[in-house]
Amino acid sequence: MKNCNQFREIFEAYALGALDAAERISLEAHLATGCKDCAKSVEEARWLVSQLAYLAPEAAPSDMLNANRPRRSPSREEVCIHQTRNPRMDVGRRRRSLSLQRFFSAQRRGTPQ
Amino acid sequence: VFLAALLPTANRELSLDATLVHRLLQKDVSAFEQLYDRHCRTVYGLLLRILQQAGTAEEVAQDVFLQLWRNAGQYDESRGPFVPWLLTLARNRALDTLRLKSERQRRREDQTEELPPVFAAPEYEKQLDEKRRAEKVRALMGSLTPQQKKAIELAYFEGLSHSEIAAALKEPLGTVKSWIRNGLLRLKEGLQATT
Repeated sequence: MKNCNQFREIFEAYALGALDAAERISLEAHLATGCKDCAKSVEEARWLVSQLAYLAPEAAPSDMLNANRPRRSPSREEVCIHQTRNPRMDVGRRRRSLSLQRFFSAQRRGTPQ
Repeated sequence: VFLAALLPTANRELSLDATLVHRLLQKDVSAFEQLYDRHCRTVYGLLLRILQQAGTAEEVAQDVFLQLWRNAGQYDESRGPFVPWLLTLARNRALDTLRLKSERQRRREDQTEELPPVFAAPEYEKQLDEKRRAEKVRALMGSLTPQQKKAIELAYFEGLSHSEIAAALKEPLGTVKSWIRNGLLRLKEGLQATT
């Protein structure tokens, strides 16, 4: 079993998901022993890694995604419009998109999901 | 609301997110709308960067917000701030999608809904609002060596491991590990120095 000092150099890579299996398993086994110092270091590394998300430029989703937000229940006509606007949307995507619309429509009506 | 108005901008943002997530537990649709409006551009931008396809990114974005709606109780505001947790959830979902696509598998609607753990933020995190933090992170990354930046981006946006990056860049494994670690430590020092 390694001691804490030997893990010090891999906390960031662990949070990044970049460790190869052997190192990851070794660190996770150590964390499972309840080492609070290493757990805290991993938390800090996770926060640091989460900041990398800001490297991606913000982007606005298309009308289709915005239409799925639960501002109001979409009408049958709107659903048809989305399908028409996205003729290349595959069947699976269309099904999931409509599923989300139905989900939020049901929330509006108070129907349990 | 009055007390929140007295807080510094960054703290006010944190407090507002926590309040909105708390309201999600009561299935408050209006709270969901506000969270979506506040964060959808950041989430979608990240997903688009990872997945490189608008349609897939939109699909995963829907999934991320649906997970949030269904599992808001898994976010514990006492353990850490909301946005880093949401972005980690989005990244995990995007990388899962990338891996599934590479294995030519189709994602199923009833796939696991495991969410990432909430993690604490260092004290200096509270000093920056989102806009300033994004600017700072980009500036700091711009100050890294091209190799450090490339290795970190391959790991973060493409989900590659140390050895996969070493193979992709045709560099020794130890060198790649050093690039990533030193680059992230420099980022950390830079963010700490912000306060």
